[in-house]
Amino acid sequence: MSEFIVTLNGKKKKIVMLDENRISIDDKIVEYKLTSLNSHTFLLKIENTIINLSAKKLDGNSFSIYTNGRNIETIVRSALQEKAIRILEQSSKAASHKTEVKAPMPGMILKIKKNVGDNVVQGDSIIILEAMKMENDLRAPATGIIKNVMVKEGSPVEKGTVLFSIE
Amino acid sequence: MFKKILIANRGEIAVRIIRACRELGITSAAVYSEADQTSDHVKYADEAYFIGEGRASQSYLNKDKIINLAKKINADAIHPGYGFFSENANFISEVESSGIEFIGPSSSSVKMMGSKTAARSLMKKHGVPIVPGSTEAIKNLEDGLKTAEEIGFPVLLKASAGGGGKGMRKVFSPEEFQNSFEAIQREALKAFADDSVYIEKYIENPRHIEVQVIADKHGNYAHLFERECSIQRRHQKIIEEAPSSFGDEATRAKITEAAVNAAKACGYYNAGTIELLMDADKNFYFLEMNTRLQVEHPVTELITDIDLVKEQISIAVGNKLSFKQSDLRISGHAIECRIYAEDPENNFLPSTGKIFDYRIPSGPGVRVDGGFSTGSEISVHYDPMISKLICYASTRDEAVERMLRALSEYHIAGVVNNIPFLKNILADENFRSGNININYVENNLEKLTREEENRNQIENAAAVLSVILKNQPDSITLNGKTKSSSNWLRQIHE
Repeated sequence: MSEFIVTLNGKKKKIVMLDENRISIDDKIVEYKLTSLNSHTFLLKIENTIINLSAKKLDGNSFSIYTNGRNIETIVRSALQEKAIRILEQSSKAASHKTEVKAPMPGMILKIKKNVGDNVVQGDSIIILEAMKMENDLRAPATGIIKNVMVKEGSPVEKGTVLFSIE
Repeated sequence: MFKKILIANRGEIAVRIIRACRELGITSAAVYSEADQTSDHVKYADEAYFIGEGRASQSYLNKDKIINLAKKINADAIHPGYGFFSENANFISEVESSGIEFIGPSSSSVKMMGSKTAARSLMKKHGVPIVPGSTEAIKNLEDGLKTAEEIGFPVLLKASAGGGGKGMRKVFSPEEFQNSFEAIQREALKAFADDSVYIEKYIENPRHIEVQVIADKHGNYAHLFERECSIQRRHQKIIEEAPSSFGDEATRAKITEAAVNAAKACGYYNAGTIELLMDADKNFYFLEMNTRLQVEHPVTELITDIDLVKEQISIAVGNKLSFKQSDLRISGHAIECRIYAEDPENNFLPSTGKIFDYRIPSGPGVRVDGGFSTGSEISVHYDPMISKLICYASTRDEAVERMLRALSEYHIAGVVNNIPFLKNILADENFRSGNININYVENNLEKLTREEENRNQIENAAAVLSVILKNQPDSITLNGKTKSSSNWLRQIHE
């Protein structure tokens, strides 16, 4: 039996492939059929509903799925891999955790609102990035202390440049 | 009639103008930057000219390149669309003196309306109500504080050269005044190279209502009724409708008369828009005049059956308006949703990338004014608007239901977009009952980004697809037939 754990939007879903046309989603067995329209767009029928999805592979285990106006990033792990990851996570939980925030697009650093050493709460505005003719508010993804600020006000940044980190 | 028009713009508005040209038998000449090689305006135009790298200053905002090109290709006229050069008096006056027709107002009308303070004093002189406040730049701190106390706090400090929500600050008390005044002067100097600042009374929870006006070069003026544009995020409109759900005939008569007077005051010709703020008691105040075609012009076209772009071209040729005010009636209701590549759940952060799958809605009463399709790129250089979806029906309720239906048919892959957010607005009770003002999105943000009902179903589907793509590629059928070799799967795994 092939059992998988899919992580998406901060949730976990247990998917078990039963046979060619049956699958179990979080222990509920449903009928399904997948048809591809082209190399990246699919019609997935679950019971009597057909959903149009487009997919892009991000790396070996993760996908970017576009449907109903949403972009859902998924990570697929076998039940065994998932168990291993969970044990790893628990053992590293005691150790401090550093989160880096990268520029989501190229632009210019308009304003830096926090300094190294500041306490921040998840959702606090940290940096204003001017891009695409707009000011974009980049917020703290986690609660913690600003460990590093790698950019200066007025400096241009490329997509993916690490801007600051929170510990 | 013109033989050839150069369209100095990109995206959906360039496509809109190209369509009008084709229907009028005029040759359309598109311009494109490096970032727009796969955009639709390049594909639909009769001629397409490469004008430089992606940065607007090197392409769409390079005055000499555009005017020289128009001369070289023997264009009779330039249509500026909106944004870019559309309200740039210097550009317009250079076009005027080059012997090429500018499809829009004269440079002098644009100049008169370009400075907010000059426009306010012009409106005041012509009996158009303005938001209480100063009609000249504030000379110094004492002068400003005096004006603020006269009209009463809270007040707004605004940059004379500002616009689009930039260079604006709310001040609640005399104590805050000095700091805010100095800060906005600095901001204005930096953003617009002009530190003049003026004061307006802060209007609580107003609606944004605007009137479409149009005039020819023979002194004939008309209005095409109002549009309701209160649904905004980051001071930019995302949903517009016509007529306004707030309108009664008496109010409509007052605002349209004021709008025509405003257009006359600056000797206006071509299409223009008078933007107004309206408070809960239906008092209205002149905000600014947009001396160009508006993004949201289609809703007006649908309720009046007038093609504004064709009319603009005809006016530029020198023809009289093709209709009289008394010919116009409001028929039905139209709504426009701006489809943006942005993430409402992440503070409307723009999303960039290649659109790798694209399907637009259709069916009764649905119009899509778009500029991109499969293979097009949403780049960092420009506004992230993908298209405008416009729905028309005989009543507002029907138009809203139609819009919800159309939004659910829309499929865009490759960039995050605001379709779920727009659906949540359209389904919201306050929007449905017309209980809206310009703070609606901000005040309801949490509710509007909340999980929608079919989210679990969508997430299940995404999870199932991911598992199959990773593990069971052979179980997929291609166009109904089982495919043994998985060529397509290799593509996706690239």
